[in-house]
Amino acid sequence: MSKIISIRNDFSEYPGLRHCSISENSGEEFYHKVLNKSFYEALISDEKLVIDLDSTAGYAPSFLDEAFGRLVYDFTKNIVENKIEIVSTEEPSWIKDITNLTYSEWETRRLESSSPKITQKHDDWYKVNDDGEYVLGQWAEANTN
Amino acid sequence: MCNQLIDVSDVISILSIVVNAFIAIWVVSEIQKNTSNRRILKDHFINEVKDIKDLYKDKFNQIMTNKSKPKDLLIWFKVMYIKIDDLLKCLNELYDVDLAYLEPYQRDLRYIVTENSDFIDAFSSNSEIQVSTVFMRDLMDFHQKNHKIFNKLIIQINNN
Repeated sequence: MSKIISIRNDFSEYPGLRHCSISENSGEEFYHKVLNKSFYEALISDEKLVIDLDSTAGYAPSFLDEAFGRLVYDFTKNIVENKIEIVSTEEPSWIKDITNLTYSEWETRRLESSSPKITQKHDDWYKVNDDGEYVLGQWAEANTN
Repeated sequence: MCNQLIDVSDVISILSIVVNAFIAIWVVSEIQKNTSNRRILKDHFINEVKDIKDLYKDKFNQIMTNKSKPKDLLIWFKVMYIKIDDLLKCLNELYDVDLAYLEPYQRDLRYIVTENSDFIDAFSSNSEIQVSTVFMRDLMDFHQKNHKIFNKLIIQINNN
C-alpha cells in the first residue's frame, strides 16, 4: 500500500528556494507543512510514501535538497530510503540527484549533528530518536537572522 | 536447327546480361538513396544540437545583460530538460549517444544560477536579476569550460 503526495497538488505549482527567509513555497516550508507529517503517517501505517515531482513550474535544486535532506536528518537515510519512492516522468534526473547526493550528504550531517538552519518558527515536527521511537517536538530553534 | 539453338542461347545470354545490369543499377541506386537518407538524418540531428547550443548561448546573454527573471529561468530550465531528453532518446537509439550526456551540464548550470545571491535576491519579486561581476565571471567560466560538449556531440553523430 502507498500514499501519494504530489508537490503540485499538495503544496504548490511554483516551488521556491531553500528557506522560508528567502522565498515563499520553500523547501523548508514544504518539509514542515507537508512532508514531515505525511512521512510519519506512512511510517506508522507501514505504507510507502510516493512523492510525485511532476507538473510544477520547475525546481531549484535547493528546494528538493532541503526538503528531502531534512527528512534524512530527522529520520535517517536508512528509514527514508526504505519508505520513500520519488517519481518523475518529466525530469527523472532529480530522482538520481536526491537519492545519490542529497541522502548521503544529509546523512553525514546527521551523524555529525550539524543542525539544519531553520528560518521561521514551525509547528512541532516528528523525528526518530536514538531509541528508534518517533517523537514530536521542536528539535531546533528558528534562526531568523 | 543448330543455328537456331545458338541464337536462342545468345538471346538468353543477352537477356541475362541486361537483367543483371538493371539489378546492379537498382542496387546502387538503393544504396545511394540509403546513404543520402542517412546523411539527411544526421544533418537534421546535428542542426537540432546546434539549436540547443544556441538556446543556451542566448540565455547566457540574456542573463548577463540583466534581462532574465528567476522564476522564468526555473521554467526555462525545465523546458530545456524535456527538450533535450526527447532529443537524446533519438540520438541514443540511432547513434548510441549516452542518454545522460548533457545531464552534468544541465545540473551544474542550474546549480550555479539558482545558488547565486543575485538570483536569490530577485526571486520573491521575480524582478530582473542584477548580475554582479562575480555572477558574470561564474557564468563565463562555466560557458568556457563546457560549451565544447555540444561540438563533441555533433562529432559523435557525424562519425557514426
